Amino acid sequence: MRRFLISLPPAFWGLIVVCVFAALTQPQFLSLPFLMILLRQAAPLGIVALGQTFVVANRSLDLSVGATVAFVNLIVSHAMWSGYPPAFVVAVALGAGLVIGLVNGLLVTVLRASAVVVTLGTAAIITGVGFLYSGGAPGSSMDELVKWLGRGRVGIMPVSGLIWLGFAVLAWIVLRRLTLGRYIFAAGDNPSAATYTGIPVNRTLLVSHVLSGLFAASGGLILSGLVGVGSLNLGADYVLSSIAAVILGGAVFGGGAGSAVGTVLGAALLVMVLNLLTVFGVDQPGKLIVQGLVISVAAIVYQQGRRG
Amino acid sequence: MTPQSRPARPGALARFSQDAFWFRQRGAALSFAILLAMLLLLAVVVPHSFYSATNLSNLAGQLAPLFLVSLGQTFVLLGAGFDLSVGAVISLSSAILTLDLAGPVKIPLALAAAATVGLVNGWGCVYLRVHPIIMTLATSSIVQGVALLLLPTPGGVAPPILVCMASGTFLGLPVGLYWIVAACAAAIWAVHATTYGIRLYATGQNPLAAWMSGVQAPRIRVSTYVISALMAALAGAYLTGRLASGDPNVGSALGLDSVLGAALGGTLLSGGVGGPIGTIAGVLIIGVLNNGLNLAGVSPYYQFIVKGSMLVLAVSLFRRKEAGL
Amino acid sequence: MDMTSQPPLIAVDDLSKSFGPVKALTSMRLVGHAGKVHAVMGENGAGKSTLMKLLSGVFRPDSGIVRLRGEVVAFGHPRDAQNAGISTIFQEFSLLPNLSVAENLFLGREIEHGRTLPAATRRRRTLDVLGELDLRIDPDRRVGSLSVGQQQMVEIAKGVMADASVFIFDEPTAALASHEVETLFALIRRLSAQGKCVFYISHRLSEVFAICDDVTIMKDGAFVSCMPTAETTVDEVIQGMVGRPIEELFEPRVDRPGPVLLEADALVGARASAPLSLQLRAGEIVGVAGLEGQGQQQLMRLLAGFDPARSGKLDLEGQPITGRPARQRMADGIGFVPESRKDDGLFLSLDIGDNMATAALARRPFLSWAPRLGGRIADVMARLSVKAPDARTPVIDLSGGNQQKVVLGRWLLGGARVLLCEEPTRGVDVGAKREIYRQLREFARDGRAILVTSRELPELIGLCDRLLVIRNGAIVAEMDARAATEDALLRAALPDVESQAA
Repeated sequence: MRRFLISLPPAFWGLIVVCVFAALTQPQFLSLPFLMILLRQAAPLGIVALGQTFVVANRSLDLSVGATVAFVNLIVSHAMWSGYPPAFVVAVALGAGLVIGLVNGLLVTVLRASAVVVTLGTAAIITGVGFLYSGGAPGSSMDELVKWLGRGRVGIMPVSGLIWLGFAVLAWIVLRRLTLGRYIFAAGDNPSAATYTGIPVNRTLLVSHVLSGLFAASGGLILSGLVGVGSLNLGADYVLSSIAAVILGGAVFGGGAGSAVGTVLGAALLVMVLNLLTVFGVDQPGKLIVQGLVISVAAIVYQQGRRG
Repeated sequence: MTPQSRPARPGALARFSQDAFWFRQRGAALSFAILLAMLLLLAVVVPHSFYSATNLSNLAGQLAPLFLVSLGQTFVLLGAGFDLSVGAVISLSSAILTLDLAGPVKIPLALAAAATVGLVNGWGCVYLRVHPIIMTLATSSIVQGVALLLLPTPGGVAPPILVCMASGTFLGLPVGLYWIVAACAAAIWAVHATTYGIRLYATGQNPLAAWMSGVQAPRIRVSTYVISALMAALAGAYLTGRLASGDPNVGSALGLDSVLGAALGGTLLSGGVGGPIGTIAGVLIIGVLNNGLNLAGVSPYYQFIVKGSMLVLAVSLFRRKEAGL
Repeated sequence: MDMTSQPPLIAVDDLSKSFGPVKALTSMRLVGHAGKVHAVMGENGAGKSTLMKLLSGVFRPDSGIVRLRGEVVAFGHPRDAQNAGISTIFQEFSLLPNLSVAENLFLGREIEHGRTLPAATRRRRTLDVLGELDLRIDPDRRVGSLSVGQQQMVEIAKGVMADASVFIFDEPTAALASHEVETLFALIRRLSAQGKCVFYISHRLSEVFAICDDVTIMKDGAFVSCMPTAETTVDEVIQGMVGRPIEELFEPRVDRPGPVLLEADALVGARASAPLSLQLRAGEIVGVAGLEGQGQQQLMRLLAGFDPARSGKLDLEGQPITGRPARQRMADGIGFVPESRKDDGLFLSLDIGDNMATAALARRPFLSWAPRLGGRIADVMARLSVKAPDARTPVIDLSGGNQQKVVLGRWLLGGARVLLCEEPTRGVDVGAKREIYRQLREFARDGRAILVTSRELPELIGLCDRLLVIRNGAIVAEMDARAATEDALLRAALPDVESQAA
């Protein structure tokens, strides 16, 4: 029992604190309709953060997720797809994410270059390509399917919430049930020991980056649907937020830990805190400060205990 | 007579690989070669527009902030660290400098604020052992938030002395050039002519061996973050003076560029190799490239692509032992 | 040349140091006189390295006194020892490869009387010091570009420049070519003639008898004897070094080994350059004995596949596996336990179950379901007597012995047929050692073969059926463990013993 309690991610405790606080001060915050709105807002970030979980657990990082989200947004709002079936556009968007992840992964494994710098570089490249593609003028012809994915509801439940759940289950399966997940944690914890037990460390890292790119593109798709139009630089803050969500979810920055459930809770916590701040009249600057403080505190407290 | 195991090869090539100073600067040599090639190319393609007095003086004016932050980042990288909060500190200093306070109060305040950020970064990375990426990402968020609190939208009035020092010309040369020369000279002096510089190289390369020789590695590493933050503050001061007003987002692009400038100059992310001389070449490559592309009529969107590719290229030239972070 | 007539320059008395439960040094004593070269000898793990690190200020002693010129000294930092006049030339150098010779010599010492020494002065002094040692090296030259011998000279120059009165050399000739050894000896003689005290830590009997005036022998972290080299023989020295009690920890050995499981024939790798030929039979445990750094690791990694084979053959149960990479060999049935379990063996953020499961998982495709090994893991834990509540215990909470069992258990779970094990009981307490020996025996008895390397000769003699002695990367002797003695093994392991036999 004690071990179970210790293994709970910081986000779990954070959510309890936030919910209690909200219940006492702003009870309508916890009403079902409002929670559904929060869910719709959190879903895109949640999916991107799930993708980030793979790379962080594998002792790497993906700083190109924001650019990927923006790029997907530009793709799906571009006029050129108006004649094509909507599923095709979705496939193209996801394919872009796959390619981005693959490029990141190859650069990091084959060239053994620093993941931080490589993904910063690919982020710049993606942004540039996106600008060229859209000519600086994002379109507004988004297909109804995409909009439904981002905004639609099934009963009171947002479609995007269900999609997030689906991705969460997928991530959970990969990390907890598949061999790939075992490889990711081992390679992330100790790449040298992993090699000595026969684990294909490089290939595992490559796959982690591919998954991150794919999930980022999916999150970008959902976010685009939510917003409804093309927008310049959509999702730029997702880089910081996804990392924050993953750390709040219990991942260690040196690799070897992380969980789908934790990241989900982390993303939920983050969105709740940001919205709570809005309700109390705090705007963007305050949110940035809070976000930075949250990350640093979580990092300091939770990275100390691990391996020092 | 001591027989040497490896017979001394005559000539410049041997000197190059055997001399300690040149070894640490070999990235710089490559970068200057690339720069030279670019300048020659420009002389062929757009000779009149590039090599005109107006263009060059504009270039000097634009590149001053990049020089400052890249040099600052060089120190952090030499100590095997990483500073992603540079852009936010620039914005913060811009915000502070346009507050409704007297000039002689604001300027030291901006510098003090930057130094504090640097200390926090350093303390977190070195003593609390938080990974530099996380630490500086977190502080970058906090600092940017504070900047926006102080200055929600672009505006405000910059101290007149800064406006004077950051615009126009002095003795016929663009003012920015003086900032650049001063910063480069100071950085080169600090790294190559002081004991601090040598100890910094030792710290970044092998903290344990450095410790055994009595070098205070943790303190040196913290100091690099403070230097980086102060350089960012200076860059913010320059930009504020040039615009004559503040902008809370003025620094956002420069964060990434500072890493690029240093990396293109041969300063490795693993520490202990490179230095400000190479950074000069690195920054010039970025500036000349952007300028050249502009003059040649290439769409500004390509610049993002070029910049990203250069970053990837710069970093992939130096193989490491393990993949990942 | 009477040793007792002058007062010693440096005297160590009752020095002790423990690292956790491990007693590295117990009441050690040592004296060094000005103008004399004093050898310190002992087997692996005798405590020589710890003694040296205490004298050079890297560690602090738990108890005991060090006197320099009659005055008690205590070092909190290597700089203190250097300032006191003790200069240590380590095996892994403390030089910075990217800095020049002059920069290295002056690192931390650039300031004199409150002012920074100008570069020209530093250069001149560097040239002076190098000249004193008869070295023609450019002071601006990058240390990383120097040969190992030259780097060593630079380390010595550091001490000369600091006007050290005591020089400590740790295995100085290990990486030197023969002409460089001559240079080193000339240098040591010169230092000695200048009235310095030189400590010479080495295994090489020929060198010790050639250049040292006195020799102190250590065993199990304690003082054994000290005498002038002129008054002793090789045999006496060896006798002093060996003779640790072999505890009654070992299981009975196997009588008839089974078929050959692993066979290497003139196998050569990139890092292991001497051709390797050996056979491992089912049911037997074979040990590789030798002094530190003689190529044990290279041999193991060549067999495991981490050093790809350049020529020769390697067969596993009759099937050729020479060209196969390590990952494949593991899937085929070779298990590998690296020496440093903290760096290369354990996944410290994961639990016991995850740590053990890695080998069993390693041959599976990414998208396969990770097998539920819960029952089998519990089984292996019980067999190895891993002391932990269950498989979900984080491995970082375990003692060294239990951690080692987890690493070994990994290959039990993974179905290895041949186990290559480096240092199976390093950092493990006595009780756990017994259990590990029992497990290894059982492992072998189930029809598997085990190859172990170990620094502890008694352990190898007790545990193994057959012993191979390695020296300089090649197997130089083979003996039946039943008939082997520590003495015989050490003789085979020490370089140049025959040439020195009195």
